[in-house]
Amino acid sequence: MPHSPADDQQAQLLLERVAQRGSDSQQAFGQLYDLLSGRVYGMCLRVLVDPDLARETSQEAWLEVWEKARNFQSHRGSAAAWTLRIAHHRAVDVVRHTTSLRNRQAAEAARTDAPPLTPPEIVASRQERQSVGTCLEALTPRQRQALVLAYYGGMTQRDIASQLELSLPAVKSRMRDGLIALKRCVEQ
Amino acid sequence: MNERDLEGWAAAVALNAVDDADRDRVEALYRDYPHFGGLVDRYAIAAAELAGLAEVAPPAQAREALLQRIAEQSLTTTSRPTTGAVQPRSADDFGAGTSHQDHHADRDPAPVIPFAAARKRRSGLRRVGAPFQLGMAAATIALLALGGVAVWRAEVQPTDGQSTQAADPKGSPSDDSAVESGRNPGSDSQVGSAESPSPGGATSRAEVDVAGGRISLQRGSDGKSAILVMREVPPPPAGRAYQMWLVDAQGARSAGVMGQSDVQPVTQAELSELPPGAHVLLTLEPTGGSQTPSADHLADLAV
Repeated sequence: MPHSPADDQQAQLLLERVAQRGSDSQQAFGQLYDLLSGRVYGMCLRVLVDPDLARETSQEAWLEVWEKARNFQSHRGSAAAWTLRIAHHRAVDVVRHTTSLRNRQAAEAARTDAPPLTPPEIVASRQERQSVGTCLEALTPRQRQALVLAYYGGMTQRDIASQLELSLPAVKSRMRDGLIALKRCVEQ
Repeated sequence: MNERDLEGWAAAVALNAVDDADRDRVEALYRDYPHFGGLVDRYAIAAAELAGLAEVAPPAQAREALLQRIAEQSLTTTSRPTTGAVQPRSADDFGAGTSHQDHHADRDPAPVIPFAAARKRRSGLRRVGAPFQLGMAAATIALLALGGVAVWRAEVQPTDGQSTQAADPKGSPSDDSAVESGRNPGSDSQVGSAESPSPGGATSRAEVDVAGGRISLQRGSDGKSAILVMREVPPPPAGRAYQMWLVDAQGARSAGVMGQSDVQPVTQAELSELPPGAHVLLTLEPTGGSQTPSADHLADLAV
């Protein structure tokens, strides 16, 4: 998500310029990329683990953003949310069809003790990110687990139900309540 | 289904946590609960917050490579009309979507489908957002299997309700001969040799690369008929189907659905009684087809 209302507004204006396919659309696209690429690539990296795959997937996502810019409707959400949704869909698509879940889980487990992200690659910490992190930590462990497995793990609700030995309604309930709580917390 | 359950599904869709087994259910939710899409949007906004926690600067060269691809894409076209009369439709032909149709078009982040491999190969794929109106007329279609060539015939009934003349029941000679002669249906030379007359004598053709294969639309000289040929286009993934649409000023109407078993190395559809200025749209839909075209546009060819 944009880190401030100004960022949000800027992303929307840039995306609208991209959609217009005017003489400055490519420039606007570059600026939109500068604004959101850290979140797009970082999310892809988190989901896919493999940096090469993350780079390729995020590039494909950005091409889709370029192609579908006209579909964006600001009343349905921010430009950043729209972009990230496209990217997450692609990342999940790739992870489910190019890598076995078992291998990914093994890779995740192997890096459990390592820093969550390589420091030199991390964009400078921002207060908003800390805020989201704080909000995520504020969720119940069950809610947090469901969200992390679904969003960062790319797991389906059935995968999660199987792994946690839960019913599907229970998984959906945790994801729903987790997202509601996360949104409320971030908006405070 | 109560509201709480509906929101649970919306959260699952927003997190991309649904799979093929859920596809029909999710499609039904979009169809039966008009506010479901809004719920998904709301949860997707919350889900996107999570991306901020993973923020990592991409490799520096990625930006330049991306912008170069964008620039190249802007300068080239994936279609190769053989005459100036037939031009594939560009995404720029469509205005920004506004309501349900575009809402539908923009919800493709819903069930993730196993189409990644094909997507990687469809370098020339055109993805266009089209705010089409609902279909105004019915269409019937018949399928004949002719030794590896699937031949479809669509009979489009006009909106005034008058029936139209059925297509010639004979298969197109062009691709029958192409298959029988053993030519590679995916090669450029095959494409060139496939320009034999369509019903009434073809005058022009448009082509587009899709998923590693090629789709061409060859127009008849009568201006009312055309042949659509899919060469080496892979079958749709499980739970999905290709659907053809005829699109004109009155909207989009289905012209047939192709399931996995229907798609052959060469698949052909004959279209007759086409309205003036019509486009032929091919989309990826749930098995059995949809009432309106989804966002997964594989090709959009002007007749």
